[in-house]
Amino acid sequence: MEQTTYLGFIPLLPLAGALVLGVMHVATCQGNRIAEKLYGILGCIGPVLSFILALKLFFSLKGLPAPDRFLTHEPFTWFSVGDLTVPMGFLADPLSSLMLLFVTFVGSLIHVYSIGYMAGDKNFGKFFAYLNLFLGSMLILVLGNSPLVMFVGWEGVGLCSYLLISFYSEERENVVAGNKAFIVNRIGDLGFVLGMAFLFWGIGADGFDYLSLKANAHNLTPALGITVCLLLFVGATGKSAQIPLYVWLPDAMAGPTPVSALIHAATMVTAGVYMVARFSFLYIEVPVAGTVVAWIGILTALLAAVFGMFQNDIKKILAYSTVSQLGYMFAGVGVAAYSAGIFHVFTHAFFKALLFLGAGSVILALHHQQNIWKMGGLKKKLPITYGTVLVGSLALAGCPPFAGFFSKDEILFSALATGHTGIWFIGVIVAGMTAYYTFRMFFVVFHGTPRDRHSYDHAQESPRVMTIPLIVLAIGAGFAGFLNFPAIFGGHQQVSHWLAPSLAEHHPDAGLGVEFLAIGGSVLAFVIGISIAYRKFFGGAEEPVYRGFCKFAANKFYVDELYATIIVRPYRFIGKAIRQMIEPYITDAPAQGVPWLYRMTGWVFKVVQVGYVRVYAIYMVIGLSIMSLLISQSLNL
Amino acid sequence: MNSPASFMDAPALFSADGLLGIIFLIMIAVTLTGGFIAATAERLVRALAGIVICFTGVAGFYYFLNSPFMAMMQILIYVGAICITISFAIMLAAPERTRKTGPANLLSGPLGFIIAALVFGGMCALALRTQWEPFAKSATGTVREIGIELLTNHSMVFELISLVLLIAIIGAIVIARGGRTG
Amino acid sequence: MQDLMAILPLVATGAGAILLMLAAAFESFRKEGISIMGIGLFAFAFFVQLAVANSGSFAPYSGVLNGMLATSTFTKVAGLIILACGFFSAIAAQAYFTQNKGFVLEFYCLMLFAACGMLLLTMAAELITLFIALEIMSLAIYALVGYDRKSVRRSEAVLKYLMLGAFAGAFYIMGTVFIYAGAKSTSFRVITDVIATTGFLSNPPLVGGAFLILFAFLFKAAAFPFHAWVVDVYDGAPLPVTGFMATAVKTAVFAVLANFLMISSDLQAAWVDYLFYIAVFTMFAGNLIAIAQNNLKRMLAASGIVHSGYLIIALVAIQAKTFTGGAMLFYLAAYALATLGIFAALSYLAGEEERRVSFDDFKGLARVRPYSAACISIFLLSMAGIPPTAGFMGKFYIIASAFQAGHVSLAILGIVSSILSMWYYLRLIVLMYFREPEDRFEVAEMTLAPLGTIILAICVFAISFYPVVL
Repeated sequence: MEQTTYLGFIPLLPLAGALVLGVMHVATCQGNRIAEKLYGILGCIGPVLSFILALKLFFSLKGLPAPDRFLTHEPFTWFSVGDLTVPMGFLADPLSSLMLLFVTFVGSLIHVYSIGYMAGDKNFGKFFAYLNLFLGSMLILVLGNSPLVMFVGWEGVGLCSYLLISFYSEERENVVAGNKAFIVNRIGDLGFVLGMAFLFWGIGADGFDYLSLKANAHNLTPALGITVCLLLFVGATGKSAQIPLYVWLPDAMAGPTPVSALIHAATMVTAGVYMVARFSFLYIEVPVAGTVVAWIGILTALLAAVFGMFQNDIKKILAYSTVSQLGYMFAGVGVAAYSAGIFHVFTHAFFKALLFLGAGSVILALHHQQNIWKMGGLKKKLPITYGTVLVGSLALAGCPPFAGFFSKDEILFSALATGHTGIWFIGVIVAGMTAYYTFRMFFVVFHGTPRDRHSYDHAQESPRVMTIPLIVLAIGAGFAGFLNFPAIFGGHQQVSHWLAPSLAEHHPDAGLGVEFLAIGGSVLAFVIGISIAYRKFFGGAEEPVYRGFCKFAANKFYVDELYATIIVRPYRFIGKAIRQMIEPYITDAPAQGVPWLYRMTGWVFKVVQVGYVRVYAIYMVIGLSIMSLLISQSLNL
Repeated sequence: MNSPASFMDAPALFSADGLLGIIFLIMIAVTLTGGFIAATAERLVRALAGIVICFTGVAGFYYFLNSPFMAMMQILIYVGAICITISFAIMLAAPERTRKTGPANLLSGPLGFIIAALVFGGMCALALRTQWEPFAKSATGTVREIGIELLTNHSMVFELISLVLLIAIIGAIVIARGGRTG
Repeated sequence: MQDLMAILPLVATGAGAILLMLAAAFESFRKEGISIMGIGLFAFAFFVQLAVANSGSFAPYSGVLNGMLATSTFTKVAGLIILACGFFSAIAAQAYFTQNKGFVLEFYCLMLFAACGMLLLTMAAELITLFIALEIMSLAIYALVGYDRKSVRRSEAVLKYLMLGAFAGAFYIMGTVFIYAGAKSTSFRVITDVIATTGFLSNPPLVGGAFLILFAFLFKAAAFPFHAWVVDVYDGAPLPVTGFMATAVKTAVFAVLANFLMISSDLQAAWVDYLFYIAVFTMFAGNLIAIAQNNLKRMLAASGIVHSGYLIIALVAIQAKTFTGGAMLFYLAAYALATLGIFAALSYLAGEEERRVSFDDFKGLARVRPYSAACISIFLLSMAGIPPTAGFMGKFYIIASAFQAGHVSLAILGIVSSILSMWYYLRLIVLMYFREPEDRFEVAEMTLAPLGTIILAICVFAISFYPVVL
């Protein structure tokens, strides 16, 4: 366990970038502006350097024998209370190194893309500062060596998501969306904090970093174990948008598209899955909690897929697909297939970033038009975008051999192999629905005839600074799956082996039959989904009018309204009641009285402060006399 | 000094010890009278004169305490230097009619008296309740001894006093010059 | 060599002061040159102190000086704080004198002399040396407060300070006499031995002497009921001198208080109860005086009383055996940063002849000078003890030490007092940010003081995130 200093620089570089950019922006927000190019380059330096360091880290880990694959760095003691000393420490093991790799890689590409996407925005510098801060927070979250350090990053990404979602703060809706994301996340954070507290109460006495916790995990009583796992999962549902706290993610589309890509692909939403995998040593002890996680995950996947089928906004479709895919990931980690879940996080990062950036390219080409029923036939106008989005869509829909297929199949196979047949079955249905809504979007946007002639005519392909990241990501989305090529096809499952030292995982043994069943189901579902979409939308279709169930689903089952009715409104009512009844009469009266009293006594003291030296001297002597009288009592002779 | 003696053991009035005793009593009287004048005089100059008398009496005490050097210093510094400086200050400071002490008010009158009495009582109690032990080496307090002390045991203090004087001079010049701006 | 190292900071400040004094005689050194020299000498002394900071605790030149000085980590860190205070006060003074008349060439020389006296104070291990050191410091400060004889307010302030200071000094001498009577020595080491053999409370002269000496230092530290002079004197003094007094003098005095109480645990135990009440009354009296002030300098002076109260809490909580002074020094450093920062900012914002010193004068400062307002807000928040500033950590350590020493009620009263203090700190922030400016806030062009202010503002956060507890 030697100190590896450069670990600290991985999160530090983007954070330093954020500071520099922020100062530059603040210093120049009035008057003389700095060239955007400078901001862009400065903004990209941090993430790219972090990526290089992450690579270096990966290879130095690879050079170690498998059980010893962890490096630590504790730059300083964060605080110490009583016996508890919390270092600001970083831990790199296979799990965090994998996360680091794709977070910094995808993050860097999104930074580069943003130079093109945000060109001309008056808050260009601020945007890059936030983006860097976001990435830096995520890296702290990933690298932290204890739940407390993770929490720093956890809150950091929460804050940055708020800042970025309401980035176009001139419009009220965007600010409301930012608030929603922040508040919903806070509810989840409460769970996380409580979970941490219980965990500390249970086994925190001998050190609160992951390695000590892992060593002591078996000391946790079952009741406490379930409590901790479920509370931590509440935190995860907030950050990773699961039932019941998923409502913020679709609204988060209010932010600029690169932000959506960053939130959905590399940072933020993957934090919950990562956290559950990080605590796999706890979840493996409490299978019940795992089952709850898996079921919540798969139900979220189903629900989001249903919503996704009836959305009109290109970004909302992608948002629900993210929620749905996150559901898969939780189903994976829930059935104790942690490496499968993390692998899906990994592949998802590529194809979802790709899809969002592609969507951004489309949106920019059509001057911020987001309704898919105003698009159509863009294949000719945006060839590069078309090609890359096709790769992304295939990956998302789970078409073999694209990245999404392998990771999703791995999860479904694990569910089946561990006996969660229900989860598997729902998962297969969701796979079909995913294929359907993905290609519904794809066909409507790129094929058929242009629905809005005017904007079609003005559309043109995005600049190279945007298309190059798209192409790079498309390569990733196409081939990332082969990294964990399953044994059945003669692969070695490198990712699973790589992750093994970090995770408490039992690989289920299942026969070839089960494996073929899983693969067959997935492929079948994909084919059915895509063929329905092809039939309905390939030739060009008009915006449908939803009725019955479809209308219900298009309105997202009125969940937002339901929350408003049963939680927000009563809450507001109580708040109002307190404000009107209790505050003025019960709490405010003394609160108003105290300052009054305070001012009066202050005034009295001002009078005593007469300003004559002799009076001051007399005060002193009076004090002296009283004290000497008292002291003479304490003499013992 | 000696342990308290009964009246019967007192020395004869005109013996050497007896005369010393009378002189000691006179010193007490001088000191108290001076203090009383200083505390009650209306004119500042008279109060100052009272202080001079008081200080002289105190110098006598030092002599009785076997410290002729201290007695000399007391007269030289306190009577000679400080009181003269104060008298200069009084003469320079204010015109004739305000050269009186301020009116006695509630605070500085009875209260001051009570406090003074308390402090006095406290000191007496402290002095009486202590088991005083004579010093092993009787310090005679001659100039020679003080000089040796200053240059050996208290050499640090000796050095630092020069610094104090330097600062006092600089401070006095700075204030007196009234701002020679650069 | 080690001996020389230990007293090197003393030599550096003393020699620096004399150098400045001589330089003032030359026509070629004028205001700017002397200012830069003064600032540079403080910086130099600071680095000298820093260089010698990690030698152990011992009595330098014990043969020649007879153990009259003693250094330890505590005294060295206190010395560092004092010299840093001097450095930033000198920067503030430079800004102050670009806008105010009445500069005297000996100003920085006197500051260095005062710093030299303070360093001596922290190191003195013998009562007479202590007194001389006290006088070195006090005389220099008197001259700094009252150098401008033409100003009535300055003269009034220096008169009050001088008279009451002499009063306290007399009590100190009286106390020394009593202690000499009780212990037959003025050396701390001997007093420790005497207390160990005879006990403390059974030796009335020692009790009386220690009482009078404590009284003299509590006067310098502006503890209740010896606090009344502070507001008038701080108000009358020039801004940078006020900052210097409020920070450096306080550091030196509390270092002495701790050293003195640490002579023997019996001695400290005898005063705990009194210090307890003094701490409480000091905090609340300071708060109540501060609320009623409309003048910023007076408010800061009164808040200085409150901070003294906190430091007395630290004195109550120290334990002779395990004493390191960490909590106290951290608090002093945190307080010094914030106070120096405010005074540095005020030194240039106050404008010509200290035009802007009342609360109302700073209405809407944030609109006109956002950076200055932000810095001042940081300092005020640090003084009020709001995380994540250094002031918060300082209060936290002090209150935690009170808890550890079993003075729960004192800790709670400390928290209450800290809440009360928000009143006047936040008031200025509200005025700066939520009122329309009525003033253009023109000040003379300068670079050092704003730079110093920003450095201090950064330090307020820096030391809070990197708390070095000794």
